[in-house]
Amino acid sequence: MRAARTLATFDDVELGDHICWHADSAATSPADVLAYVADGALYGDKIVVVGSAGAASGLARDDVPSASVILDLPRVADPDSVLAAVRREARTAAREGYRSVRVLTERMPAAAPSGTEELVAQELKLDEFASESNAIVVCAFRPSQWDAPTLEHVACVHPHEMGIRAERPAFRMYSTGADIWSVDGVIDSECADAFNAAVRAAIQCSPRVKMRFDALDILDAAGMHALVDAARHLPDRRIVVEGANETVRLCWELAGYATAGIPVVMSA
Amino acid sequence: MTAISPSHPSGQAEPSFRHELYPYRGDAQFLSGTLGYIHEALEGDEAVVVAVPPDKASLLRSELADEPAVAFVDTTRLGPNPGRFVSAWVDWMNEHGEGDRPVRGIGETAWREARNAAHLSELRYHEWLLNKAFARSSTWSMLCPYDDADEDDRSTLRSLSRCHPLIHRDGHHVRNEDYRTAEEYPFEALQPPCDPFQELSYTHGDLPAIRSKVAQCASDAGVPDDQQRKLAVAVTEIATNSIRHGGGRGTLRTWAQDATFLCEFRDAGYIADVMAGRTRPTTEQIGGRGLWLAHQLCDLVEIRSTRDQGTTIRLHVGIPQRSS
Repeated sequence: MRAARTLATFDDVELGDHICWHADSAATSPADVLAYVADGALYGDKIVVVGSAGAASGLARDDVPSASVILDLPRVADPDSVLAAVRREARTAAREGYRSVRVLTERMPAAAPSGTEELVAQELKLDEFASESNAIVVCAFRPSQWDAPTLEHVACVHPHEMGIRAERPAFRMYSTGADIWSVDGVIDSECADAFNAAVRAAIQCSPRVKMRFDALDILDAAGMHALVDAARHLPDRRIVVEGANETVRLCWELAGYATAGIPVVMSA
Repeated sequence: MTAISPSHPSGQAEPSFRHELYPYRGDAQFLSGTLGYIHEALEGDEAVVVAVPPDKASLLRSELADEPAVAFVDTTRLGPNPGRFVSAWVDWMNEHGEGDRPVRGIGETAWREARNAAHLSELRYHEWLLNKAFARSSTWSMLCPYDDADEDDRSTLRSLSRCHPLIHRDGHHVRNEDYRTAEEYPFEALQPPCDPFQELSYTHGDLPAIRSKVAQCASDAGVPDDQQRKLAVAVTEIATNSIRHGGGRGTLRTWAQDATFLCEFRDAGYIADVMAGRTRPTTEQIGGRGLWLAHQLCDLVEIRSTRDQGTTIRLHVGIPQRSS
């Protein structure tokens, strides 16, 4: 079972990790990126760089090991096409005998899909890919290029973050199976919008979604409303929540949501 | 006091909520007053909901056999917080009223089981609030028996009397001229925090810090883990209200006093609705669940709010005492 955690350095990456990395933070340097790429050769992982190598977190084209793939698709506007290309590389790598793929992608605001919700949806798809294929995916965000709310939203849909002083998001939502999303941390009024965006994104492609709340400590009134509002955002959606602690279940009942007509069911 | 009339059976009910205090002494007086009230109701085809301490319930049960129109409800599951009582009465009255059928409630508070002065004060405030909560409930009425056996405690009866517009005596109800008709309830002043206390100023982004501070202090005070988790939700809700509606910032103080752990939140906001947090939210309601959850999760919630001085909310949680 995947679990959320903070990585001190790229040395700590494990198969299936989907890492949010603030690329211009002081905690990491281009040398760290080089080590991440070099470790790919060491462990038998194929390197897949999304974007021109020069733009991917300061990684020069000469630094990319031979047999690596650079998916430089500046004219492809559809993020799903990029993800499809990454999936193809993962399948090819498996056929070629690699252990897995190590993906390095730098998210650029100009190339990002319109709206935070779409960006969150893309990150959740990438997370599902990492979970299913055991790929290691590092998403680089330069904080100087993004607004703080968007960075907060995307951090919440990465189960892992990089850096000794990395700010841990209030909650993290990540894939633990087909149409199964685990949530850890705390969902309160300060991150309810991010949670709402994440759940909306999760139910975009699937009308039936399971959410695991085993590692969720608190879901306050704003968080409960965010969950119900997201489920109601599209017609005929249904979310089944499992593993919530006793206090979360009690609050759900007290808030009046444990009733027919609410498209979210809180089971034990 | 001015005599009005005997209690009216169904069909002749007065047009507004009838809230009667019934001071009595001893079991015989308790039975005569409450049974008279119940029999009037039954003659008028009214339903009756009885919420009294277990020993009083036993007395009534033995007299009423299996009268189907009289329902005894379990008040112990509500817990000590009087902030939960209004919604409980609404549920009971609706459940047993079956549409427009008039319902009489008999509610006796276990006054002598009040945990402390703050609890006693909130119990009295609840009695006063019932008049506001059910002001438009023309088919509901309530009798509040009060055991007046303690000659040394006249002040409790006096203060309780001010919360009831009617007094029940000898099968009649009479207008209570001591009743506080003022729009605002004259709360007793909150006692200063017990020394030592801890203080934290907060604003947007500080909810984790608030939870951390409260968890540390509650743990030090001996609040059990399961209650700490509930308290974490309650403090999140109250601090969120401060940040959103109370000027964007507030001050938290925590301390332990006797067998109670307290969290006090002060901010510049004003809560105009005295019923805020005391009525069950609807599923379609977008906001308004914060105070409701706080009332449901804490043993006592004290709210003091004025336009001039802002809002102070105290959350109380009981600390289990080790037996010596």
